[in-house]
Amino acid sequence: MMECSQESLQIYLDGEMDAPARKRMEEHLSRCRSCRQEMARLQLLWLQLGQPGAVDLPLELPYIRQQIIHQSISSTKQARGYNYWDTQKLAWEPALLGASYLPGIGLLSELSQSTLHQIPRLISGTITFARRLISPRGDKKGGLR
Amino acid sequence: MAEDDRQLVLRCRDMHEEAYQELMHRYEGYVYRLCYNFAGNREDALDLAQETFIRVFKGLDTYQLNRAFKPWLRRITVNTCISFLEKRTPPALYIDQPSADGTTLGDILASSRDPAQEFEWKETGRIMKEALNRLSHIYRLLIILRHQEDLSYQEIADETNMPLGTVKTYLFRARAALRKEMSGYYAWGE
Repeated sequence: MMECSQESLQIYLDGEMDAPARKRMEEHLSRCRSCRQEMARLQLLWLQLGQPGAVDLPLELPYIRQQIIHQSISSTKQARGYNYWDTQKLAWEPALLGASYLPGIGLLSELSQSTLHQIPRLISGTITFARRLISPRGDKKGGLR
Repeated sequence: MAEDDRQLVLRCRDMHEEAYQELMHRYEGYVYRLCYNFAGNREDALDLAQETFIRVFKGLDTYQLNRAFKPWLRRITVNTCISFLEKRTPPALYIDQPSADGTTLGDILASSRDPAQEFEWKETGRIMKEALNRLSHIYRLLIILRHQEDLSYQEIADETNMPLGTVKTYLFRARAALRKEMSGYYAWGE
């Protein structure tokens, strides 16, 4: 004959009792008023515990998603032996994507095509100009040494 | 037509960024909610969800394609939550978590009832949530796996790497504690 047991009631409600134990429990419940009362209380608890509480998703989730994805892809590439510049390219992809929305950015490719031979000169000219800004003319003769 | 998880995983293995986006978009809500119910606060839940997805993407090569993706994902989430507990020194058994006024399925069910009953159901949900947040993390995790994820004792033991007997004992204690907390509200005897 089964005795009153809180633990058995929980196991019964969880559906974790084998058939003979389940039958014994049901016989016990038919005779024991306090266990029936306790069972009703537990059923209410079970009902409440089974309700998924509403959880608002944080607004920064898409941003975090992007971070995780780039971190994961770049570490996978490193693990698989991709070179440094591939990883760098991947790391800069979000910034390049953002830059692509700047007005007029699309014209750069046309500019580069039409002045293809000018670009090396443009770069070297910029470097020369920057040097002049940093170093006074007099330093050419070794003033900084 | 939406790709199934298996196809997405295959494309992730080939490092297609859109596949990563899609896979994460599909499951980030599920993972975040699981972590939130475990941690009881937004910040820890975000950290846990982030850590979970990093582990998921790192382990994609080990995922067996003939198995369902969601249980595999849940197992990683649970392991991340357990690691979070192990890192905590000293282990915090109780946290003070203010309850948010969230709408539950019970609220939706209650919407067809009269306003007094609806209010009572919401109030019960709030008290239950507070009681849950006073449980230790590990008890809460087991409650989530049993009642929200609908896992059997054995499945919980497998997910958490805990002995079956410990799962039973912890679940019993957790629910006994909840019953005690709710008995004040319902005016039940001890």
